[in-house]
Amino acid sequence: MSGLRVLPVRTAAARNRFIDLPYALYRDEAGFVPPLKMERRAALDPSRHPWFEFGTAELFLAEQDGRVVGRIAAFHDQNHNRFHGDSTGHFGMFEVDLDAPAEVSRELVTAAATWLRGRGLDRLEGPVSPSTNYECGLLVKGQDAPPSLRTPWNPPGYAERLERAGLRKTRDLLGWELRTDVPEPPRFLRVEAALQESAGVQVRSFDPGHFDREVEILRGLYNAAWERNWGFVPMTDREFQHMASELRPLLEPRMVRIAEVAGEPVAFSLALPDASPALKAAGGTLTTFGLPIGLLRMAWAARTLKRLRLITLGVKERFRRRGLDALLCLDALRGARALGYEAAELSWTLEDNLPINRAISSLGARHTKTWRLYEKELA
Amino acid sequence: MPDVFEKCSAWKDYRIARATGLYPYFRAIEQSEGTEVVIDGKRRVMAGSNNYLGLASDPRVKEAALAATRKYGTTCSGSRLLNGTLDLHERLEHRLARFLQKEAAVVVSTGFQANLAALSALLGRHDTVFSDRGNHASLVDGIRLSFGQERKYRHGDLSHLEELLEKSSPEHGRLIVTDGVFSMEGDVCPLPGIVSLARKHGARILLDDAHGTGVLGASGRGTAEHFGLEREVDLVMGTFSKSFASLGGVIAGPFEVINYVKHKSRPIIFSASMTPGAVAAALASLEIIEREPDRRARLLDVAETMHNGLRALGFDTGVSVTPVVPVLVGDQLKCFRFWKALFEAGVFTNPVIPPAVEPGRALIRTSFQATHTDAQLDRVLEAFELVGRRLDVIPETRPLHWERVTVARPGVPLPVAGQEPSRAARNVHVPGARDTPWSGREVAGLLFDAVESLTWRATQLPAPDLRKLATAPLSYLREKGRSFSRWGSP
Repeated sequence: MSGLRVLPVRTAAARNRFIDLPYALYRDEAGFVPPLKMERRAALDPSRHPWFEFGTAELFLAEQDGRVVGRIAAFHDQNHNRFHGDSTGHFGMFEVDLDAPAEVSRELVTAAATWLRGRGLDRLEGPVSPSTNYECGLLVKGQDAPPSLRTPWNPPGYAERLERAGLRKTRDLLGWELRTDVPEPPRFLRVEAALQESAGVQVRSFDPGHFDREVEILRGLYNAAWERNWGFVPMTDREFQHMASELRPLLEPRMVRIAEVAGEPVAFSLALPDASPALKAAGGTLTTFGLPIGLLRMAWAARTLKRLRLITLGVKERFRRRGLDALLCLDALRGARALGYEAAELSWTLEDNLPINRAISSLGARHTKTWRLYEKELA
Repeated sequence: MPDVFEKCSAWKDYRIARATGLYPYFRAIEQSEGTEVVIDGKRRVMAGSNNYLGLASDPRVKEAALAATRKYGTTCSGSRLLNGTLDLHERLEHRLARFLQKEAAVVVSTGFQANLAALSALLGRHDTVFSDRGNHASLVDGIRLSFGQERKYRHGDLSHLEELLEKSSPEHGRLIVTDGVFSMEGDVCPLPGIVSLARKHGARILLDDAHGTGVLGASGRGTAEHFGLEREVDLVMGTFSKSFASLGGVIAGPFEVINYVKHKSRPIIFSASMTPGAVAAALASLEIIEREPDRRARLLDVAETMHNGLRALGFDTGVSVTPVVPVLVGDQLKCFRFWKALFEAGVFTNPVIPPAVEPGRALIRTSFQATHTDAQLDRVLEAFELVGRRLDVIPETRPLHWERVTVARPGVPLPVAGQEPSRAARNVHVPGARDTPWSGREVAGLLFDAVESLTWRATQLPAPDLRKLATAPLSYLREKGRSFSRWGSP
């Protein structure tokens, strides 16, 4: 292959080229939401992002005749391996120019695989960036659906490229679209009534006045509720706090709900306004030649955010099968309607999580997006 | 009552290693020709010896050792202080002092002991020693033996060293101790940076150049010569088991310091001196080093061939730029298997596992000699390719692109320890060195970058609803202005 080089990122300039690639490739795609470049830099900065306290990453750029045609990141997540007792390496941030030959994706995956194998890992999983607690999955269905906050968007050709590079599907993640003007299903109302009568369940909003304390409660609930789920890794305090402070500007207290039984938090739901239109307006940078053009555009678009993303919902193990998840879904729907949102994306659920998927569809949600996770043996 | 020997019976590692058939240590060599040895009746290429210049099997060196043994006997039977000094010792010391461009030198029975001697004698209770985390065990033990305060700085991390120097007590004497070439991974210490820090903070420098003397520098005088900093390094320590084809060590420095060490250090006073054969071998090797620079050039060529040859196959040889070529394997068990497979393929190497390296970074350490023939090097590469593919350390096809290594020839600027990104694997980027001045465009780019970064960070501060930001910007700014002192707190 003439002129193709896959090199690890070693300089600030190369790192910037790494970050800039998707903007160059997808500027005109409706589904692509350009993340803020500064945010991407911070996310890859070992001195600023808490994931690097236990994880190591290596970024690779594929250049053909001096032009960047692809990128991939390899992640070695010690927490994941400690928690699962295996030696898995992850890849993510996979982008490739579909006009370039298929060789490029194969070489990128090989580069990541070799680096991970050199660290003694024997399995490759992804795409995640840098773990399943952040953006994960390759979008294989729903490229034309409205984009949503912090979910990956990829053009249709990627799945085939990864499969040709030897990766096989391991699990699908589903994204659902729910309009807030759907009627409230009677089953949900019955569950709600039952819970309020019997168990003394109280649902309250997030209290922004006690931000740190509330974040700590949510972290405990998140880790406890998700512990047994496939692909899950507990977040460290600092990871959770970091994410909370990143999402803080978007916080709508009424959309972050905590269910308590006798004063003890037992379940939670987290929905955030989908700031995608605002990010699209900014186009990746808040300033242009020093002037806050992107910032103003972003703020202007932020005035009329019509969609939400229901990111996560969790119920502590002891309190499952009592309908708390149905209650929280209903509650989120009501809150969304009250605040004037038109629709919400519920993403993501595991394809084999039948109870929650059934509950969501009976609420009136439609399955509109699918993200796929892949795996490959390395040894 | 606890038995002091109990830990010996409780130690299982040896039995496990032997049971799995992967025990790689204490292999007895039956015959040696320098680059090839016979172990277990089979000829194997020696790719794990520190006999860098191949002088251990040189007939001139052997002859010198034999002649000295005939003249002085097989041993000196005593320490240097009392009856163990020969004129040969003094001749070697004078020659070495001249070679290393120092006022005086003292030779010690082994290199390990030379470090114990220097550090235990020189460091007192009111001294602080700053030691690189990657330093050789002999330096670590030498510091332990002394009464000095120890401060370890992260491998090659000059900013950490600076931090430690600044925080240390101003009433203490200061000594910075570092390997010149680190023995496990073959990287070179950031000597220029160390020298400038030493000057700034009034510290002395002890350079353990065991793997540098005879290898680096235009005249083979080692790491300090390579960087042009011989006068700035106060004490140099060297060993004879590597380029000098013998056994012993030397400490060279100012006359008064060497004199003090000779009279005050227990590892010299209470240990028998170098045998006549060993001294003569070192002397003969020193002469050859001075007269045969091609040997050194050939050694560095061999090193470069092997670095690049292994990388072309897909191996990671880390950050070395010397004839020490470490090959990263990763997993400890796989490393032993790799060693065994190479051994069976006729190549003798050294497996290195934690704690000598970080966990997950077990490696096969190879080292090459000036006397290795091209045919032997090809055999080594073939064996690595075969075993590497079989054990899945390298992929089936060679990489399309790999980074070339330029070894530390005289005059070549080096990537030094601690700054090489693959060593500090957490660093995702490293600012590149500039060789052209900043253009206006680049400066403007940096400024806009800074503005973008500050703007973004400002938006990260706890702010009211994004919507409010647009509809009431002035009141927001006013409110933020009032709470200016709270900026920066989450």
